[in-house]
Amino acid sequence: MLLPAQAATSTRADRAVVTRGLTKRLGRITAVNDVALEVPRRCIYGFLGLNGAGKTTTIRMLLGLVRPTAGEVHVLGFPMPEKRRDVLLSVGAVVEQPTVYPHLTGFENLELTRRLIGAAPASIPRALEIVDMATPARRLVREYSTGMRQRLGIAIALLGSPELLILDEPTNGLDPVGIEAIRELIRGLPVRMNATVLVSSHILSEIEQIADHVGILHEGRLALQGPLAPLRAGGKSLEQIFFEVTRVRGGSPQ
Amino acid sequence: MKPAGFVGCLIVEALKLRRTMALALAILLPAAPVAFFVILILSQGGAEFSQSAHPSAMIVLGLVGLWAVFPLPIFAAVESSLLASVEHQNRGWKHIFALPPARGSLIAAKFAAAALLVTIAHACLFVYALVLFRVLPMLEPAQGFDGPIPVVATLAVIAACAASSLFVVGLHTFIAMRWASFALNVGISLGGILYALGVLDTRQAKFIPWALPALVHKVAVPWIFDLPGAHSEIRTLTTAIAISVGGFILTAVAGGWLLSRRDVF
Repeated sequence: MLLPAQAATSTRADRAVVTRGLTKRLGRITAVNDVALEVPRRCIYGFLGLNGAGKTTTIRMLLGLVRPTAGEVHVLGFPMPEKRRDVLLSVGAVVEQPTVYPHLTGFENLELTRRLIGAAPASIPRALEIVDMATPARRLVREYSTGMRQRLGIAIALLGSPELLILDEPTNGLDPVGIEAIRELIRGLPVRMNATVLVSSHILSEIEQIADHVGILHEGRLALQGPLAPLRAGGKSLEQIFFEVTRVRGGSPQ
Repeated sequence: MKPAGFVGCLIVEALKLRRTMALALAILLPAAPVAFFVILILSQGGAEFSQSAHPSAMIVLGLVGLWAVFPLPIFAAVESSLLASVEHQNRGWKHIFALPPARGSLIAAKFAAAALLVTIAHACLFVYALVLFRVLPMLEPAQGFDGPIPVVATLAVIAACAASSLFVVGLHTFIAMRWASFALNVGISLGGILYALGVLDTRQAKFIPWALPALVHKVAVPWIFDLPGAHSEIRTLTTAIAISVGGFILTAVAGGWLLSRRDVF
């Protein structure tokens, strides 16, 4: 489903992410099917879906890691993958578990990415301060807990002062204290970094507490998308909304 | 792929090598043939070397031979697997490919890092060889190992050996980046070495990547040390090195092209 060119252009200006007809087929399986995401700028967009719904594949297409079978992707106004470099200079991402090298210190991990994105050396202490990791950054990552690795992964993603931060399942494997810490961190990012945050999760309560927009992906299709407040106007929880949507789309209760 | 982007990626690859098994192996493994050579001299007296017409050439021939035939091709497979495993084990491909540098630069930097590790290994082998030349007169004073140390000739032989290993390094680096299996890469290496041993004395040896280091070492020592009848082999030497360097470039370009077009899951 493609919007008329003029309408699509005007939409892209105030949207951090716009996709049209985004589809990815993997053999006979359609992992992502005709998805039209619209992520407003400077919001926290909760990208929801069950395991295997296609969230990670969609995120990988936004980052140019996976080529779409069909459709188009615009990130921060640039088409992907045509303007890959322009996009990736302004995007920070943690896809699934954070990529950190255990044989290096936290600081050395940050230094590698800083060099690859061409950020200033001062960006490292700034990112460490945001995630509250200044002291442990001198230790080898193999000594870190899961929560510390997650925070280091987010610090790496913040190095280039991104306009768009993509976090895929950022609380996976964390204990309640770690979840709370990451939640507070994400909540503060739009104001602190003037950034848009797209956070994917299958944990509805997490998204409900931090997101102001949501998109629900079900069996590869975008089942619902919009601001969270109007959706909850009738007193429904996000969980109720999610199950209503996925029942209708999926044909059976989850 | 811009040169500045490639250099930046190569610096990052070099920094990633800190505290890795790949770097430790590059430094330590070349000591193995030297240690083996010392044991050989101590156990047999070294008369077959010292009493030959060209003792220095015989020592370099023996030492580099011990390295080039088996440890070097295996080292190429193991170190390329260790280098790629830094990304495979930590799911690093999705991270580095989601950063602004071109995928081509990132992949080319991996190939260059593999070549850098082989260069480090040969630099270490050269240093260890010089130490061996210093130590031999002390180990077996009666054998007369106290002549001048052939620094330049030894360096030339080891440099030729390093150049001749590039093709096999390129092949194994591609395999290691494409498939995470350590066993696959080492298995291919073992198969290649066995086949190379079978064809080493035939005309096709110079076209078999795993045979090139042994072939080059065999013909480089007589030529570099100016032994009788050596000049007839210079053509084999230059052809083998050209095939190795050309094979590395071809593997890096073709492998990089294939790898940069793959979806990263």
